[in-house]
Amino acid sequence: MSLRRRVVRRMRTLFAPRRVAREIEEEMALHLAMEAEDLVRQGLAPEEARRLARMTFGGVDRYTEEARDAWPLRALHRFLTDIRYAARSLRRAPSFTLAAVLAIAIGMGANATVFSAVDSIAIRPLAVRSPESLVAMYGTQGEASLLGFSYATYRDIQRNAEAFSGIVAFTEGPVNVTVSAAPVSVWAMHTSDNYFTELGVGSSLGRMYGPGDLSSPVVVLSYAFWTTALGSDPYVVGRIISVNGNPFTVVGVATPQFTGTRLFTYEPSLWIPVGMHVQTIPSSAGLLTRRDATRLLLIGRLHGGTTIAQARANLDAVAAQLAEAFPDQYRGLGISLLSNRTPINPWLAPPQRIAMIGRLLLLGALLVLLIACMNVSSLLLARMSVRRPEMAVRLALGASRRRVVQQLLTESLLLAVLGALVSIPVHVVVSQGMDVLVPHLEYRSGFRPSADARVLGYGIVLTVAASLLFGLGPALQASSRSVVSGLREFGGRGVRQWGTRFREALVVSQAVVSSFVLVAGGLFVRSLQHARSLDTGFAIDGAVAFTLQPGLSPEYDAARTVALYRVLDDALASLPGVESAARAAWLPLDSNGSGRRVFTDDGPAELAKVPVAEFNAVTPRYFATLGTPMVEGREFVTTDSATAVQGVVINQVLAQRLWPGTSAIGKRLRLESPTSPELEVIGVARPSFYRALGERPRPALWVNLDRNPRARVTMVVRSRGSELALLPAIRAAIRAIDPTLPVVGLGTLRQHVSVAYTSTESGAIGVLGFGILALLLAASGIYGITAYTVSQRRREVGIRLALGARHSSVLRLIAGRALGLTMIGAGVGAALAALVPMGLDSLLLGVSPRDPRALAMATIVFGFVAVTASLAAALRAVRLDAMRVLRLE
Amino acid sequence: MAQPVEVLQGTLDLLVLKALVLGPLHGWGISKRMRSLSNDVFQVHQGSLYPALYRLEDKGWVDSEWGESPDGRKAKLYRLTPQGRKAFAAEKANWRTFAATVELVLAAD
Repeated sequence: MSLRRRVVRRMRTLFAPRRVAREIEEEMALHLAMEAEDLVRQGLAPEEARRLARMTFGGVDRYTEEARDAWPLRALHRFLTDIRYAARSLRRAPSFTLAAVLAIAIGMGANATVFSAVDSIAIRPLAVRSPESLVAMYGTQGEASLLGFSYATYRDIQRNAEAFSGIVAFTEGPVNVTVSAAPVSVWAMHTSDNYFTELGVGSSLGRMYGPGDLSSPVVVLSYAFWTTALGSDPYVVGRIISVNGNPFTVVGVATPQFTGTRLFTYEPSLWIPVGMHVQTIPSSAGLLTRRDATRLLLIGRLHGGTTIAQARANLDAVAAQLAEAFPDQYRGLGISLLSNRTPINPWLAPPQRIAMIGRLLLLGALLVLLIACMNVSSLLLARMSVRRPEMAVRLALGASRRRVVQQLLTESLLLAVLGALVSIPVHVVVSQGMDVLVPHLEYRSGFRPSADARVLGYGIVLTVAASLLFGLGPALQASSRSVVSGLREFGGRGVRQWGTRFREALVVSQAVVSSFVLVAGGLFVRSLQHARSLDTGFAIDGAVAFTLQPGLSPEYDAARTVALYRVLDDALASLPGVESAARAAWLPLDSNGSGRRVFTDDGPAELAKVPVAEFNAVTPRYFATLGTPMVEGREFVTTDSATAVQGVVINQVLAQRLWPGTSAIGKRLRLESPTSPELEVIGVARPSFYRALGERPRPALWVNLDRNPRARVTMVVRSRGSELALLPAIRAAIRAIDPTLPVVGLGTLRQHVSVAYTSTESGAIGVLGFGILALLLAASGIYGITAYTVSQRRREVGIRLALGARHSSVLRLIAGRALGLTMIGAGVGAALAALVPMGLDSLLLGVSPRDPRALAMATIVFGFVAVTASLAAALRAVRLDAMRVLRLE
Repeated sequence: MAQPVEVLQGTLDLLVLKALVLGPLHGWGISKRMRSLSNDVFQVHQGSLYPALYRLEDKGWVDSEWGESPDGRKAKLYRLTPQGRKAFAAEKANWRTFAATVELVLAAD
C-alpha cells in the first residue's frame, strides 16, 4: 500500500470517523448476510440461519469499535512515543542539538522575515473578491501611454465593454483632513460609486458607499486611519469630518485587509465618491463633466470565461467607436489592459523592480535555508555513525526499516520545530529593523512586514519540508540493512565510505550555493557603491525638503497663497543657518515628474518627432539652492515675474537637441501645442538625474513657478551648517505662520530622494546579509566535516605522529580533501553566479553581473573563511597525544 | 468434528495472512476460508476478524479496496501486500520455532 494512501486512510479515521464507522458496519452487514445465505444453502430455515449467523459473528458493536480503534489511535500513540524518544535522544546530545537548532533557526528566521516583507508588497493578493479576474485599463495615443480617462469616457467604456462585468474608476492624491484639531495631510482616493460593490470589499464598521452615492458628501475610512487618527472610535459612523474644508459624513470603516488596489504605493486613508471631487479639489473642477479632464484610472472585472484576448478585442472596438464620436480628442486612441499577473501593471501590481528584488531576496533566503539543511544533514550523518549500534540493535530486534526511518524523521521534525521556534524572536527583531529599508515617504506606504497567519503557514510548510530535506538522506542511510551486515562483515568500513561520500557531496554543494549567494551579495554591494558615488547633478547633502499644499485649503485663494510664500520666504531667510531656499513643483529623483512636448518654429512638424522634455516649475534661486550649475545664461530672478514673454530654463541635452551648435539663449519655444504662448530661453542648466539614478541624460525644462502657480509645491532649503538642526526650526516657523497648514514629508533632501536608492540599498543589505549567513553556515559545515575526518582517522593520525610525521603533512592529510572539495564548489558557485542569467542586469547599477571585482572579492573571502575553518578543525588532529590515542584504540 | 479450540492470542493474524496468501478475498470469504482450512476446529467469533484485518492494514501488510463480490454485491476486498507476504513468511517461521519448542518442552519427561 502506498504511503499516500495510508496517510489518507488515517486522516479519514481521524477526521471523518462517522464515515469510517459506516463503512465497517456495511462490511459487517454484508458478512452477516453472506453467512446466513451460506447456512440456508446448507439447509437451515432463513430465520434460523440469520440467528445463527449473528451468534457466530459475536457483538457487532464491539468489533466495529475495535476495528475502528485499530489504526488511528495506534498511529497517534506511536507518534507520541516517537516524539518522546526523539526528545530523549536529542537531550543526550546537547551540542549536536544546539548546532542543528541554530543552523535551522538562521535559515527559518531569514525566510520568515523576507517572506513577511515580500508578501506585504508583492505576493499577497488584493483583499477583494476574485482578484485574478481584475485588469487595469489605460489609454494610448501616439507615443503617449498609461493615459487616464475622463468620467464621460469611463461611462462610455462601461456602457460598451461587454467583456467586463463591471468597471470602477478612481483618482488619488493628498487631501487635508480635520478630525478634531489641526488638519493632517493624508492620501485619499476619489472613486466611482460602484467601487466597493464591484471589487467586493466589505466594511468592518458601518457601510461602504455604493451606487447612488456618487455625489453624496460621505467618506469611508481605512482601518488604519480609523485606529490611528480616530482612536478606533466605535461611534465614528455618522461623525462629520472635514476634507479640504468641506464637511463629510463618515459612513463606514473598511476591513483591515483592504488597503486599496495598489500594493506598493501610498496607502489611502479614506475613500470619497468621485462626484465630490469638484468640492474637495476645486482646482480641478470639471472632472465629471469635461472630456479633457482625463484623470481617472480604471479597473475592470472580466466576465467569467472571458479571455484577455477577447477583452482586448472588445476594448479595441470601444476605442474605435470613441475615436469616431470625438475625433478631435480621440483620434488614434487605444485602450490597453494589463492583467493582474503582469508584473509591470502600474495600478494593480507593485513596481517591477521592487517585485524583482522581493523575489530575489526570497530566493536568497531559501538558499540560506538550503545551506542550513545541508549543515544539519551533515551533522546528522556524523551522529548516525555514533548511533550505528543503536540502529543495528533496533533492526535486529525486529523493528521494520519503515519504523526506524519514521523514528529518525520524527527526530528531524523535532529539530526543525525547535529551530523554527528559536527563529521567532529573531524574526520579530529583524522585522522591526527592516524599517530602515523603507524610504522616507510623504504618506504611509503598503510596506508593512508582519507576523501573521500567512507567515506562520509559510513557516510550517518550510519546517516540514526542511526536516524531510535534511533528515531523509541520513535516516535512509542509517536504517539500511547494510548497516547491520556492515557492522558484522566489514567492521563498518563500507558504510562509512558511503556516508563519507554523501557528506563530501554535501560540502561541495554547500560551497556551490554559498559562494553563489556571496557573489550576488558582492554584486549588489558594488552596485550600491556605484549608486552612492554617482553624481546626481545636484548636491544631495546639506539641504532640507518638505511639501506644502495650500491649494487643498479653501481659505488659500491665489492672493493668500502668494502672501503665504512671501511670509515663509522671509521667515526662512531670517533663520540662522539657512543659506538659500526655493520652491518647485517637485524635486528631481523624488518619484514625481511630468513631461511636456516642446515645439519650435523650425522644429519637426510630425508629432512623433517632437521632443518630450522633463517638466518642472521653479522659483528664483532654485538651481543655486539645489546646487545645479548653469552652463549658460541665468536662472529665474524676481523681476522675471513681470516680463512680457515668459522665460524658460532648459538643460544642455534639450539645448543641443533643439539648437545644435549655437547658443540657446534668446531662442523661443512653445509647450504642448504649436499655438501656445512663446517662452524665451534665459538659461541652460547642466543635466542631472530626474527620474532614476544612472538614467541616460534626458532633455528637461523649467518654467517660472511664480507665473505658473501650483496647488502643491516642494520647498528645498540649503543650510550652512548641519541640515538636521534646521528641521525643528522650519517646523516651528511654519506653525507660527499658519498652525493649520500641514507640512508634508519634512526631512533632509537625502531622505526626500531616498526612494531612488531604495531598490539598490535593500538589494545590497538583503543579499549581502544572506551572503554572510551563507558564509557562516558553510564555514561551520567545513569545520564539521574536517572535525569528523579527524575523529574517524584518529588512529591513523596517531600512528603517523608517533612515527614522526611532520605536523604540516598531517594537516594537509586531514584538511586537504575537504578544502579542495570546498574550493571546487566555490569555483562552480561563482561560475554559476556569473553565467546563470538571473535578471540581475536590470537591478544592478553600473555593475555587470559578471563584474570581475565582485567575483574576485567573493572568492577571496570565501577561500579565506574556508581555509580558516578547516585548519581550525584540523589543528585538533596534530594536538592529539599520539600515545594516548593508540592506547585507546 | 474435532473439539473446538480457542485461538491463541496473536495467532489470528497469522491465520488471516494464510487465508489471504491464496488470493484476495472479502471479509466473509476470509472467515469461510479460515474455517475450511482449520476444519472448523478453531472457535473464534467471526466478528473478531475485522479488528485483525484493520490492524494488518495499518501495518501495511494488507491492502483493501471496495469492489464487487463474485455474486455482484459491493464488498471490500482484501489482498496481501508484498510486505505482508514477506511478513507472513517470517511469522510462519517464528510460529514453527515456537510450536516446535513448546512441543519439545512438552515431550520432555
